[in-house]
Amino acid sequence: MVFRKIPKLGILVLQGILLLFCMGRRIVAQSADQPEVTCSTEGYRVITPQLLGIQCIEDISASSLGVTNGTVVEAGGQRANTGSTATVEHWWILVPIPGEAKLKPNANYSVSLKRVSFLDPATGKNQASFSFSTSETATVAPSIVDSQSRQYEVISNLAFLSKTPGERTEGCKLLYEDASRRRGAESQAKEVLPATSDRPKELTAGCHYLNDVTLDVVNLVAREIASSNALTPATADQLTGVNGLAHVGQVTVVLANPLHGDFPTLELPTGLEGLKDVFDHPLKTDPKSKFKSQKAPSTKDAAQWYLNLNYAGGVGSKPAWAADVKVAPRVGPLEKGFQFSPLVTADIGHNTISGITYTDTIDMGVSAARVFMRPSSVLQEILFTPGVTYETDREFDRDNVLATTDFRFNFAHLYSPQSTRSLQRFVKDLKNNPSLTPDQEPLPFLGYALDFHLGTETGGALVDTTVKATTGTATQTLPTYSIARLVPQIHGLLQLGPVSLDCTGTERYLATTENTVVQLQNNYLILEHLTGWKGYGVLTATFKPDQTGHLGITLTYKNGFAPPKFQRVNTVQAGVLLIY
Amino acid sequence: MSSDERVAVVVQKWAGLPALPKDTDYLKVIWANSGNAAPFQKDAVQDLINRLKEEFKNPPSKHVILETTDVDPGSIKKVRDLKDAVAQMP
Repeated sequence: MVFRKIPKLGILVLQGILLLFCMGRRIVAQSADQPEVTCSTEGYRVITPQLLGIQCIEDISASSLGVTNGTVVEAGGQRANTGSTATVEHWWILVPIPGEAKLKPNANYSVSLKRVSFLDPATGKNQASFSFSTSETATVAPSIVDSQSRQYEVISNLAFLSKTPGERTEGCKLLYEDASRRRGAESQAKEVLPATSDRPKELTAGCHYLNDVTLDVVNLVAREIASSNALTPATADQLTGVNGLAHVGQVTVVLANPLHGDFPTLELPTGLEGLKDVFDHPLKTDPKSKFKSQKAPSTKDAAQWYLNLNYAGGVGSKPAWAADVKVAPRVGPLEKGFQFSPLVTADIGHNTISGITYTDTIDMGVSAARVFMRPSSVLQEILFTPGVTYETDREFDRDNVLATTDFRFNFAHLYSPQSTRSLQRFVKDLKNNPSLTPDQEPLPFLGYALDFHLGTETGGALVDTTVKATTGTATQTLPTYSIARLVPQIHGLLQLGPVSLDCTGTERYLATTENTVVQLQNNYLILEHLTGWKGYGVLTATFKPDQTGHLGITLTYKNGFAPPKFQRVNTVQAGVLLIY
Repeated sequence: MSSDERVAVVVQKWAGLPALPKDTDYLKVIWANSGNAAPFQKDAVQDLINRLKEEFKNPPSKHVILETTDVDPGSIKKVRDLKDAVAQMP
């Protein structure tokens, strides 16, 4: 029996050894098979003295990183194992640090994690460890939101310690000092300045703390790391908060009053009163901190001001001038999806060329625009623009008030201007040159765009007006009339290097009979009645010598009939174009 | 889901991206490569702001007061900038 049992026991032992060997092999194989994950580092946050957050540019949650651990090393100090990491918010790796190695203020550290390499996007170098600092500084900078001119950001890599966790808004004071006081060492400045100047000046503000931590949270993190060497998902969620880990150590400051005059150039922000970091120490201000100065718009895409001055000439005629002006600044944020804009357009001139006239149109009003994207795969955008317009001429002897609507239709494959093609090429070129920016990408030779409009103009000439001849004493009464027009339009753009050809063809169907006064060559005025189709076309060739596109030399051909006069226009104009 | 994640999802849907965009991606580059036949400024930016307003009507809500001029060529050029801008909204 013993003889018979020994092989059975031996087989069992062998099976056990084999099983353990195989499991061990499997574990080793799993570890070896799992690919190394690269984290292109974007930033970091010291969330508590025992918790570091590393921000990756890539969606790290989509990788096979899973849970890992590693070591944290203080520069010139001790080395310690980290706890088990967690991946949160797609882009963040949370690294727990055990109590005995918890981070100290104003020290430099590096952390390395198993199966993770860190890519520095600035240098393009892959490194096994990530360096960070617990330096207690905060930067005060103007908000990224240009329209909020009174808004500033106070940002630190260290979490702010407060009595309330997460997001909160309360009154605060932004401290500042004049530039001269900041020159030289702080000790020297204190000696030079009288004692009453030691305290910095302050601006009343409202502070929106984006994601603070409290002592309770610091202690909770410490307890969890002590018990399990890791954070619970619930605590990770609590730390993420409403805004996310990127906004730990971030305060939005909205000044109660705007800054006037030369204030921004003479004064430097020094921080927020009472602001403390997660080590319970006050934060020093980064020397890069500054107040906001006004920025000028820089590219043609933001054009809200348009001025095209033209000089016209014809055989046997005196020269003439013409101005094509557009003023359409956007006002305020979107309301119910609409962008409201005041609008002033003028196409006027001083006509001295026999047989040729200008459209002599001035439109003033308000429009609202709303975008409807991708109604179908073929029709990719509808831009709906209703508005109210007062339509007159240079002499202000027309008083038309119109309710206008315009639908612009953009179809697939018909919008590819040079700027878009350049950005498409940028993505390919970026692979060869990671430091390339979109504005450095040269414009391609060819670009084009084609869009279609359908609009209406309804209203009327409100009162009888008296029209005077531009030369002589003739006058003519222009009686009131109602207006109902259907306005289809086609607009095309062809760009060839520095030259662009922009063509707009507009048809107006006058559903009601409109009145106009026409000045004859002998300066007599006659009343005419108009109905049916009236076409008007504009072809503009522009040469832009530089890539900024602010300045251009234009040649414009206009032909047809434009409201309110509907006089025949057939002219060629050369001029200078300014777009800002 | 944090406001950063919600902004990333809005940008993804806005441009029809297969995955979440990176923080370092330029908004106008994302749009130019999305195949949409609409100008970035002002139309696509207006659509993006409208989508953000709709998203942040849901709790935890934010009052998104961005203007189209805030976005490129304004200072909001990258996905990260947009996330920061929205997080700053009360």
